Amino acid sequence: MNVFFQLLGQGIRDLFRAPWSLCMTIAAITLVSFLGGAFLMLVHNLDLQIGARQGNVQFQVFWDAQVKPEEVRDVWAGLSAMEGVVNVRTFTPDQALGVLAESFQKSVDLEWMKGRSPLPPTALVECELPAEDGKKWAAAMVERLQSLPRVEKVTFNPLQVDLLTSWVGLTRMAFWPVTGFLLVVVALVVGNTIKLALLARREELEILRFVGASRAYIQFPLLVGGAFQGILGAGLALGLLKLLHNGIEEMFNVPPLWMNISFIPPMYSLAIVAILAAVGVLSSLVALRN
Amino acid sequence: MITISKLTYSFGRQLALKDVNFCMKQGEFVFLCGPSGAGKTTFMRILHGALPVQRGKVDVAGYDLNTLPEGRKHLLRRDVSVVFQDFKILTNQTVFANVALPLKVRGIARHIIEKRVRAVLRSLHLDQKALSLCEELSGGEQQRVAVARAVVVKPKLLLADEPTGNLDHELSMRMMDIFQQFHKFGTSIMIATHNREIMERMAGARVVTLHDGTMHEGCVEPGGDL
Repeated sequence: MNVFFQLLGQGIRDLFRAPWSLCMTIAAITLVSFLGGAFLMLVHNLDLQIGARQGNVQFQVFWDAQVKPEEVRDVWAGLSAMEGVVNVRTFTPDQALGVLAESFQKSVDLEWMKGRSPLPPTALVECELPAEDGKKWAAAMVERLQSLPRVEKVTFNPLQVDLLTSWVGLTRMAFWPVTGFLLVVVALVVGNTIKLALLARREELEILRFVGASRAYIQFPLLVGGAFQGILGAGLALGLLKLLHNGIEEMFNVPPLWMNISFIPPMYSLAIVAILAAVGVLSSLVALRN
Repeated sequence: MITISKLTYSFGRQLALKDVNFCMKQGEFVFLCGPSGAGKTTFMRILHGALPVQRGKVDVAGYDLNTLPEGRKHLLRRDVSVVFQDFKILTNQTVFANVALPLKVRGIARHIIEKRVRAVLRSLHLDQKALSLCEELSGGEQQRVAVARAVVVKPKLLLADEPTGNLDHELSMRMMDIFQQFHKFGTSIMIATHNREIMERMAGARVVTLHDGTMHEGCVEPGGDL
């Protein structure tokens, strides 16, 4: 057990003998893993969106811009009770103005319009689409919403779900080839670093062999080195992904997307670390065999 | 300790050893001599498992080298130590670290390593240099480090390839005294050399000569003659 921990420590210490080579490898692994992680985050968020919206359809209801706020509030209170409605989001003219300003990324100052917003009160009504005769039901729903007091316009996009499904299909199709390609890049980078380390330490390894070191004693620290590079690269990539996520988390939470970007789940993060560690070990093994 | 029959080895078309038969008993002291290029180093490297047996049968310290797989050769090397002509020590590490290396790879406890290394360094007059880096040592001191590393594991067989090749007369004689000392404790020793002076130091020792890849027997007479 003592020897095991000794070799474990030695494997990591040995990597720092060539700090530049280690830095370059870690940078390459981090960038490749970051790309893979970003792709995974995209697929994950599309999955979440399709899961949340599957079978649902959103109606956008616009009231007359001149309507009194208390008049609309009464109607809004009754919206949730309508048959088939699963979620309602409402916007007063000022709230709608805030959302509009947000969509301009604060490049346009709309503060001066606060209190006299020209935008109409709006509601986003999300309904569960019945399995049969969805189009007919949607048309009836439009009619029902249109008949509400002072409603001016009702819109809905029946293609919304179809479009999302197509996107998910496309990304899933690309997922495995892209992931495979990125893993091969990581394997080549780690493998080459280990090969260079072997070349630099050829004499030392020869001496170890001559004094009776077993194959495991010689190879284990190198495999640990490969795993360590994979884990460190994956850890840094996850850190960068978190920074990216912090930057874009709210970016798409604007009309008409209303998408809150989620970070990849902990299980996926663990899988990234484990896979990269395994790739590090395997590529080191291949370098040793060659 | 060593049984060899009809060993033949060639590098491509060049024959290095031709139908060599050899036997060495436990506790024996053997000089392997011959001119440069006679095949001494090739012979030693085969005994140590660094070169494969191409033809013939070789048995060293109970290991059949014809069938010993690469993955188990470290077991042979734990019983057979080698002192190389070019020392093969880790020059960027301390004397202590170099001598402790074979014990470390065997997984021996740190306090035992400490004790054994100190004892061997003392016997080779290297105890004052234990913490010096090997690159700071003279050629003779580096040679002694190589010997210390070979004997610290108390091997059954010690092979030394031109161990005095880089040493002056006085140091060579001292080195032979050291080998004699370990031989007295029961270690079988084979020294490859073409230095007659060191052979003369060991009256009665067995001498085998390699010439053009073939082996001939002899012995060192008390007067120093072969």
